[in-house]
Amino acid sequence: MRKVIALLLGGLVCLPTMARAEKERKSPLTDAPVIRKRLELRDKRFEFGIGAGVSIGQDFYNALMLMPKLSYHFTDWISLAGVGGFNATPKWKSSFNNDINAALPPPGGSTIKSPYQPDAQATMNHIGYVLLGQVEFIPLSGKIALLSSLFSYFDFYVLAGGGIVNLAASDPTPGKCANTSPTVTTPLCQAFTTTEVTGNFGVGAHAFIKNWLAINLELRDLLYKNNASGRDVNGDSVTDTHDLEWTNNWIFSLNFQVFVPFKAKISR
Amino acid sequence: MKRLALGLFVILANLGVAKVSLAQEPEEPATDKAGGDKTAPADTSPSLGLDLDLTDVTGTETPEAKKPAEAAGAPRKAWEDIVVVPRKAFLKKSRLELAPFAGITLNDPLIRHYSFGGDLNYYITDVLSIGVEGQYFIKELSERESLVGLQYYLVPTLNKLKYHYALAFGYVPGYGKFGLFNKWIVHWDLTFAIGIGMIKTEIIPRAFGDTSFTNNDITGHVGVGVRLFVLDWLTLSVTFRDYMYKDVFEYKNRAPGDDIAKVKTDSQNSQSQFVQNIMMFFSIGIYVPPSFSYRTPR
Repeated sequence: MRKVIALLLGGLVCLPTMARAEKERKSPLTDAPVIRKRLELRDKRFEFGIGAGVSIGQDFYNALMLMPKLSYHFTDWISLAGVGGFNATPKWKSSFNNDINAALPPPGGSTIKSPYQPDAQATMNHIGYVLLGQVEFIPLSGKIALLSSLFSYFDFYVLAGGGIVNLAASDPTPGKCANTSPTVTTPLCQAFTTTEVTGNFGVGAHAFIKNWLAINLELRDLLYKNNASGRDVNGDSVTDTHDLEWTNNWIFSLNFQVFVPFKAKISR
Repeated sequence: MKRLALGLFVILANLGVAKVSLAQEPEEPATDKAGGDKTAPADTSPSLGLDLDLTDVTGTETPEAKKPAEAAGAPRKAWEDIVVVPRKAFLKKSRLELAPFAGITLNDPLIRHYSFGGDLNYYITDVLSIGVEGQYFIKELSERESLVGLQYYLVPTLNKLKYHYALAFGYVPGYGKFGLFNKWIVHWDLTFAIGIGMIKTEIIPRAFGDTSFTNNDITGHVGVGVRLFVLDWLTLSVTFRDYMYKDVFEYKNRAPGDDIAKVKTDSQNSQSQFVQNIMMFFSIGIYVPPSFSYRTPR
């Protein structure tokens, strides 16, 4: 029994000493950053450039946009950016729009309640332009080997911000949409054309071709209220602001961005 | 007395062990098995290989950066004298990957499909794989689909997906690593896939109560994805795949009471259409065997 007590006592006395020893045993790499001599490709640099963006999954009109972008990187991992997008293809119909158009009667054709093709087309809206501000948070930066022969510095980031989106239509209030009821003046249909506030959320990546030139890919969701068809949504037979709904509008863009100053710093 | 002496001996012996452990240098891991050294070593290589774009790096060095830190009065850190080049973190050659996934269709505004399934891939080399995939679909009609009736007095012609299976080949054209806040290194690779298989679809009759027919369509697909290496046996992936096939939809002039065999034949003759289904998948890759050995010296 005494033997057991002595052993336990011995162990207990030694525990703090051993714990301290473990604590003081320190690897020489403990304080080292995981990547040394790292190119700080963004820190205190401006970034500007231009590219193209394309909408994804729009109901009636796709948009191919010219997208200039200007950013300033406060550190290697955070930056502030302004982005523009100007629709160069306002008449680019989606396949769904083409299907609808093919199924609707032409002007003068027989119809019970379906609108004629031009009347349906008139109230469908499309993106005119977007002006966006965004904060970019860049937690991941590194390098990639492609086919074991091409090497590129890369970063991934998330972006969030806001802005405005301009929505346009070919004929926002066609005569056929007028309400014939003597008591109700709200039209039966009307295109939602306005410049509206939008949320801007997404992800992006830089692939550096040179230390001063990068390909910039971004996938963003513009979150705003819209009624893309310009027709009744809530079933009250008229079209007004009550028919607006929050919509997700995805845009993928590819830019060529120049970084200034042209030379990048190297970390310790 | 003898026992007390034994107790005292144990105490002294333990103290001695503690002191030795204080004085010891950290030991190199004895084994070359993956996962033996879990401390994140510093990556001092200017690029993926030591022989890569060194000139590029030195060319970009600013005069300030060229000056050693101690010249500016900053004390030199102990770790600056140690050069560590980490090896590739994950080897796939001769390993089997079982990857359950969940996916969603992206490009149809009227009908959305959720997919659940899995990939089973065998890696012939570290960059080439062959495998099979299978998935089951659950449909969901979108709000836009319900509005087509209200706004245009039309009923859309739609097919739902039921299941799909395929033989697939994978290729890894790119491999990279990232510093996460310059604290952790995350290894990842870029994956391409191409495959051929079969998809079963079923028409959604426009008229409520009408019978439906199914199609078995030969499907080709291409895919691109990103895979993050989490553990020696675990990966996380995001993949985009484009499934391409020719599908048969319910034909426009179907009359009530038409025999379903006739409807199918008429649909095949008049309502056949090439379809592209773009899908996004999230998957978890589990590798067997769960560990691997490096064949080259450290």
